[in-house]
Amino acid sequence: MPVNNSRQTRRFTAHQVYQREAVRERMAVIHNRYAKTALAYAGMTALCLVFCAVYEIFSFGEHSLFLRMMFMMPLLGGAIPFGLMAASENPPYISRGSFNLWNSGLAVRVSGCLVRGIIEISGRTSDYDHYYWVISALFLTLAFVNQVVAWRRHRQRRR
Amino acid sequence: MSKLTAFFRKPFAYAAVFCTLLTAANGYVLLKTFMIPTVEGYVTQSQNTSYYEEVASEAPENAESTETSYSDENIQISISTVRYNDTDVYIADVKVSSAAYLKTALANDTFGRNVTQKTSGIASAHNAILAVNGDYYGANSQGYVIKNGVIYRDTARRSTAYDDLVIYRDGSFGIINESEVTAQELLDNGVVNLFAFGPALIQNGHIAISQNDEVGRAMANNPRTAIGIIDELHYVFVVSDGRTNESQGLSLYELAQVLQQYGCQTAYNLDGGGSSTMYFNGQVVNHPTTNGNRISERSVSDIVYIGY
Repeated sequence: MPVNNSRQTRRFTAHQVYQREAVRERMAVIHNRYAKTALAYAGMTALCLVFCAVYEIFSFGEHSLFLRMMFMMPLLGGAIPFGLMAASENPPYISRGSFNLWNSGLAVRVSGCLVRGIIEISGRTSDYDHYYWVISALFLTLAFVNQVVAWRRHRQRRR
Repeated sequence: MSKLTAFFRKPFAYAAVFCTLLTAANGYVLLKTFMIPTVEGYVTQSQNTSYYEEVASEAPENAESTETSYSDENIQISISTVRYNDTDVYIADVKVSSAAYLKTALANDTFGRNVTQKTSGIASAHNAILAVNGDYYGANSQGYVIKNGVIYRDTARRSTAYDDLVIYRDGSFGIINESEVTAQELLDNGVVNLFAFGPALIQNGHIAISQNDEVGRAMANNPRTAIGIIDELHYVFVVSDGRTNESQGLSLYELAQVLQQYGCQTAYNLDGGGSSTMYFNGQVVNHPTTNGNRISERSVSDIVYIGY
């Protein structure tokens, strides 16, 4: 006697299978992108630490807290969050614009630490580092705002 | 606009443009901080002498001078070199008849950031008998600058960790903190010269820094410059070599010990490292270093000197 399995096995149309595959591929791409970004930021963190250590060897006993803490920017703003997103089952969608703005904000902040550190170790003072903090804050805020807008659009498209 | 958007959609186009702009900005900031001179004012002749009563303006003809000493009726200088902590230390003992002979001078007689000249060049231009580098005010964008009775900058230092040395019209020394007094108040109280570097090494005859507390640059052995007062119109200028095979340099505490041995009541650390230079009778006495170990005199913003 034939058994009706229609209730146990869900059947998909060809279009649904195609869509599922597309989503899976897209997720793989996003995972890959976040993993690559996290790796790049981890490399940058290591580079900041090495740069600081080497710079202080030749600085005749001088040190700068800004230079020493420079590695925190790519670590806390890049390696850790992107690493977590890459490891997540369902990572959040981040638009290219927000991604670029966020990276820019971190780059400006790292530059600020670098410039301030070099100036401090030389025994000089300068007000130029203020511009770095303001501009990086601007980039990071824009990244956040842009991402909120991108999420809304993304949700509308999915509906 | 659509072309611009299309350009930025290309892989790495945004990153390339952004990195170029950021590198250019960093380069500009570093050049502006370290290299590009920014002139903010000039020294006039009257500014140099206006606050003192008549004193001799030229060295008397009967002045006696040797390689290590100078003597006339107004100024007596004796230079000795001692070996301390594997370092050559140059000590100039100075007695003057008037505080008017203890002066400061700016590089190229110009006030501004990154306006520099070698200590020997500034000293020679002002006919200095003895000179050492000053506080390198031009390296900073804040901190009082009072030279020869003129306020050049009245914005207080961002960090209040170090005190300033002030020299009063009568030649006495004082230690102040910029957070507690304005530049104008200092001038009104009779301050004619101010040095914003530090720290104060000796106050009331006692070493004012701790051997254990000091970290970083203070602990490290480096070339050093310091100025101290022993008694009324009796000063000591100290410069130590460092960063060479012959001399390892002094820590701030060791420098303070040297100054205390000479009986200083108040002593203050001036700009050191490659800036440390002592000039006497047309010659550089010590072995100044520039860019690490190279024996070469570095250009500085200002000097403190003895002369007419």
